[in-house]
This record gives sequence, C-alpha cells and structure tokens, in this order.
Amino acid sequence: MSSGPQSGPQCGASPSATSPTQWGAYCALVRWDWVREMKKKTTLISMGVMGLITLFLFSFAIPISSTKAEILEDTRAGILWVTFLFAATIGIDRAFRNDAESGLLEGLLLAPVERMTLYFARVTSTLLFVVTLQGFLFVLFLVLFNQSISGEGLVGLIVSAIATDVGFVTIGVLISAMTWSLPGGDVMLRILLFPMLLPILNVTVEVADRAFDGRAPTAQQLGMLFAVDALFLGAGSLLFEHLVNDSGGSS
Amino acid sequence: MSQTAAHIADDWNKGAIPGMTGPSRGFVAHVLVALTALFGLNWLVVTYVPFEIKMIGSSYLIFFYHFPGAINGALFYLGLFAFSVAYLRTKKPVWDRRARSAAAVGFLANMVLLVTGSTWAKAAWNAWWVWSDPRLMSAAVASLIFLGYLMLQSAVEEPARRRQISAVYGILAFVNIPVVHFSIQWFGQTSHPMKFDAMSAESIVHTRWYAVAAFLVLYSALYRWRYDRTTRNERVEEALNRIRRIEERTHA
Amino acid sequence: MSTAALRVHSVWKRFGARDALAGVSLEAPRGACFALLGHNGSGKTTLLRILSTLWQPTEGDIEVLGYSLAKDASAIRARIGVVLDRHLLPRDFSLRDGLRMYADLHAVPDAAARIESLAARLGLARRLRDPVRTFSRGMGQRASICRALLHDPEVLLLDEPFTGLDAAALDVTESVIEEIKAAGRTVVLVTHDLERAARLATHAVVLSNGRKVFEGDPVAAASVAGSAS
Ligand SMILES: Nc1ncnc2c1ncn2[C@@H]1O[C@H](COP(=O)(O)OP(=O)(O)OP(=O)(O)O)[C@@H](O)[C@H]1O
Ligand SMILES: [Mg+2]
Repeated sequence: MSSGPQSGPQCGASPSATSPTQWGAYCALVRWDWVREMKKKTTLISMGVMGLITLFLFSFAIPISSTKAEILEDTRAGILWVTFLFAATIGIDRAFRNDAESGLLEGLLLAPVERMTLYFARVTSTLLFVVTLQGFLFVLFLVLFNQSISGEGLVGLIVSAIATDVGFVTIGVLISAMTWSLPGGDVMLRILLFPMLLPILNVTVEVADRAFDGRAPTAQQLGMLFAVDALFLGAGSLLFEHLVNDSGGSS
Repeated sequence: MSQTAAHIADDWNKGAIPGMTGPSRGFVAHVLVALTALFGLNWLVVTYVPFEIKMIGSSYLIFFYHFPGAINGALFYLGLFAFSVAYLRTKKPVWDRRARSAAAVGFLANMVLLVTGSTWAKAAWNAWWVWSDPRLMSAAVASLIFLGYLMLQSAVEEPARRRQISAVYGILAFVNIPVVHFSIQWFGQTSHPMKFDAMSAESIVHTRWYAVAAFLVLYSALYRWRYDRTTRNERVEEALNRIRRIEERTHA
Repeated sequence: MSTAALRVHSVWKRFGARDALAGVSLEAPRGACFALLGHNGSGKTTLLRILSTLWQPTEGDIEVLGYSLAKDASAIRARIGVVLDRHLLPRDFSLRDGLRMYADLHAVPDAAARIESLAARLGLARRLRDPVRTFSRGMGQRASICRALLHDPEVLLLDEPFTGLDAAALDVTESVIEEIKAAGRTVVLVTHDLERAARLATHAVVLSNGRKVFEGDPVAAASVAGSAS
C-alpha cells in the first residue's frame, strides 16, 4: 500500500513527513496491543476467571453424575460455547473502553493510520486474546467434565472455533466501538451482540457436537461459518470509520 | 445592536416553530383505507377461502394474519437499511427519522408475526413455543436484533452520535437477516414439517397476497404517524435551541 | 499552490443549542506562531481539536498544509503534532515504550536516538524507564510535548502547553517553539499566558463565544484578551 496522496503540496522546507505503510502500522498496533496486555494481563485473567466460574455454574444446571453421563454428551458442546461466549465478551467489551478512558484512543486516532487499519489491528489483537483464552478454557473443560476428544475431532473443533471467533470478534469489536461511550455500555454491548451471534453459535455448537463424537464438520457448516466471517469483515471494515469519526455535531 | 436584531431575524426565519396541529386529512384518509382493507381481509377469510383444509384443519386461517407480518416486517427492515445507508452518506437527520420510524413499524410487524405464529403453534402442536421450529426461531432472533436498535435510541444521549451509531447498527442488523434465516433453516434441529403444499389453492394464494397488501396499508399509516411525530419533536427541539441561542446572544 | 499552513473558512461547531464556534475564519502562513486567545469556553480547544482532525466541523472548510481536512485527514495527521490536555500515553508503559509505540505508528527513523534526545531536552532522560502513570502533572505535560515532537511535525498544535510546567521546562518549551518557527514550521498556541503569547506569537486571534473578535498583532491581542475576561 502506498502512503500519503500524491496530490498534496510539496513540503520543500521539510522532507520529514513520514507516514508508515498501512501494513507497518497494522503490525505495530497489534504488537503494542499485545505488549500492553502482557504487562498486567488484566483482561486475560478476568476472562479466564469468568470462564472458570461459568463452567462451575453449569455444574448446577446439569445433573452430572456417572449414571447420567449421556446428559453431558448431549450438552457439552453448548456448555463449552456458552462459556467461551461469556468469558470472551469481557475482552470484547474492553476493546475500546479502557483505551478511551485513559485517553490513549485519541492518541491512536491522531496517528497517521487509516481507520480500517485501526479496526483490523484491534480485531487481530482481540482475536489473539480470545483464542488464547479458549485454549485455556478448553483444557479446563476436558479436565473438569472428564471429557476426551479424538485427534480428528480436535482438528475440526479448532478449525470451526477459529472460523467462529473471526466472525464473533469482527462484529464484537464493531459493536464495542458503538457502546464504549454509553452509560451502561457494557450491558448494551451484550444486548446488541448476543442476538447477532445466535445464528453462528447455532452452527458452531453443532460442529462441536460432531467433533466430540470424532466426526469432522460438513462442508456446508464450514462454508456457512466462513461466509459469515466474510460478511462481518466486510461490514465491519466499511462501517467502523463512522463510529470513531466525530459526527460533526447537530444542526 | 441592529446587527444582533438581524441575526435574530435570520435565525428565526430559518424555520418556523411548528404548531400543534392535529392529524392531517391525508393521514385520516390513510387510516380509513387501512381499516377498510383489513375489514375486507376478514370478509375474505370468512367467505372466500375454505374453512378447513386437509391435515391442517381450521387453525391455518391465522396464516392470513401471520404471513403479512413476515413480508411487511422484511420490507420495513429493508427500509431501515436503505435509510441508514442514506444517513451515513448524507448525514441528514431526515434519514435518521425515517430509519427510526421504519424500525419501529418493522418491529411491530415482527411481533405480530411472532404472536400469531405462537398462537398457531399452540393450535397445531399444543405448545406456545416450539424451539425446534425454524420459522418461530428466526422470527424471534430477528426481533431480538431489531429490539437492540430500538433500545439504542434511548441509550445514546447526544443526538448526532445517536444517529451515527443507530445507522451503523441498522445496517448491521439488516445484513444479519440472511445469516439468521439460513443458519436456522439449514442447521436447526429437524422441525415439525409444515405442509405448505396443502395451501396452494388459488383462493388461499389470492387471499394471502391481499392480506399482505392490506396490512401494508396499515403499517405504512403507522409509519407515517411515527415519522410525523418524530419530525415534529425534532422541529420543536430545534426551535428551542434557536431560542436559547438568541437568548444567549442578547445577553452577551 | 497555497503558502498558508492553515486555512480555516467560516467554521461552525454546534453542540445542540450551543455554538462552540460560530463562523470562524483565519489563515496562518508557514513559519508563524499563531496564538489563539480568549476566555474560558470561548472555543479555543474546540478549534484546535478540529484542526487536529479529532473533531469534524458542523460546517465550514479547513485546509492544513494544503490538505483538505475532509478528504486527506490521514495526510494531515502524519504532519501535525498535538498537545492536548491529556498526555495520551499508555499509563502502564514506561515513557520509553510509550514513545516508541508512537514512533512506530509514525514510522520515525532512528526512533531510539530521537526519544533519548527529546527526553534529555525536556529533562525526562532519567525517567524514561518509569511507568507514565507515576508521573507528576508537570512531567506528564513534558512527556506530552515529547510525544508531539517525536515525528518532527510541520505543524504543532498546542493546547495550553505551559500548564503545570516549572521555570526550566517553560524555558525549554519556549526555545522549542522558537526553533520550530525558525525552521519555517507552524505553531498554533492556545494559552491563557498572555505575556508569553505576546512574546512568542507572530499572529494572534482572540475568540469570544465562538466568534473571532480580534485578529492581528499579538501584543494588541493580548491586551484585548486581557480586558475581555
Ligand atoms: N463535548 C462537548 N459537548 C457540549 N459542549 C461542548 C463540548 N465541548 C465543548 N463544548 C462547549 O463549547 C464551548 C467551547 O469550549 P472549548 O473547550 O473550546 O473552550 P476553551 O476556549 O478551550 O476554554 P478553556 O479556556 O476553558 O479551555 C464551551 O461553551 C463548551 O461548553
Ligand atoms: Mg480549552
């Protein structure tokens, strides 16, 4: 990608106006997001603990005993994904809130970076957090609920989970950019986000269910997930700038 | 001083303060047409279509009130989408008012769809709610998504910001409709089969599309009412802002 | 091509009933130090934020270095340095990491050396390793100036840059402004320090209730601003 328009004036006095390529800026943003999270890991830790608590709560909802093992077989995929959802939403909610409150968001908006780059970078770093979290929660789930999964099933699960996460995070980060400034924005995020996720959860839970039985996802299922990813990515990249740019005020 | 007076006059003339007039004649006529059309629908249902059809019985009659909810709901959601796009392109508040009105009416049609669907489910399967029915499910999910749009309206305080966020969400919500539809249609648990082929009789098809048209007249009247009301409210708000500005300028 | 560094043409910014800016026009040539004066709430910060591309005007056109604000915001951002009321650095980062992050975003060549020399200049060399959250108010302001200068901007937008600074830092900031002027670059200075503004500025505008009430000689502007409030 080229940087800076050619139509601009010549700045003979000062050849200093450096602006990075969008790719360079993207990498820098993702890297520094990651470094920032790794300083204190507050978001990762809150997400992990929330996931752990949710798993414990499910043990109340479902009578889990050796005599009723088949109940767990019917519900485990759903348990796993609802846990992922509740835990990951914490990270999504923070995609902008913390930066906006500390003023850092304005600093990023002042950088010579296209809004779309900012969006993709934030999606990528949030995705990294969410995938890390899911790896941790999945192992925890296998241990706590005494489950196992075949190698083939695991591959299907991972592929479908990542396909789902991409859609989940692209739409989540977009909605997070809508709600961070609202009073009660954390609740609003969930109210707006969860219904939009119901359709892909419907698919991915079914895939996870098959995966536990050692079966691979069907082409139609994966196709659906990837199609949703593409749709959400397209919508997100077109709409994001309207959320971070100032509205100009009302007349 | 005379310059201030000129400013005031200029500001004042930008728009008159709207009076509190009653409904216009056009609107009253619109409502009357809608009521007549609905009366006509009831008449058709009583006299024109068969009272019972095989395997389904008479409960299918609710279909003529159910089906328009789906079509008209989709139509107004499409309106919401188009108006939201128009708002983001032009930043003109009129598109936001149209979008908001379309969302409210679309949501109402969606609720009619849900309530009639649920009633039908009770008659057919003896349960108000059937999780495995893809039509009920996608209608419910769609209603939740668009409920979010309506909730946003009161959640954002600053008007310009509210318009921006709503427009983005309105677009997103509409884009989601096919996702909702196909994911639930293709991947839901196997549903109770509805025997739609039994309902292909000519009289039924005619009545069904007549019902869509009749309800469309009603919903568009409601849309008009909402739109006029929000327009008036915004005009009043603008007028108040003008007065406040004038007041400040004369104080300064 | 235009020689003006800034061109603001009848800009309005409206917040509901309030006109924060009501038809302000001004032009600043390159190499100017442009002082924006006026009482509290007169619209100085609003104008500066619009120039910085963070806010959009409700009406009106703006050009910075010949780039249109509406079309080429990204090009403008690459060429301006902004000091706002907050330092905009990540609170948990050390000053060095925070500055390095911004250096990366601006693709500053030889960033490490530049950070060292700027920090030394503003007396923060020994605090480069401390987390920004531990900084005192004046240190935060110094850090903010470092951040704004990092990519050697052609236009520097300063919103009350002297707040909280001690005598030494004030001198440094003043000499930085002088150097930037001498290099043919442009400074927009929002301040309530009228003496300093009269000394540093080459042009001045006084705002009152979002309108331009005076434009011209900085010394005269300072006295107008002084008597208005
Ligand atoms: N986000 C906002 N919402 C509503 N009104 C605002 C907003 N920001 C600024 N204003 C109003 O705009 C006017 C100008 O504010 P601005 O911050 O530009 O003043 P200022 O000249 O920088 O004042 P100060 O010297 O106190 O910094 C004020 O009346 C203020 O109340
Ligand atoms: Mg200010």
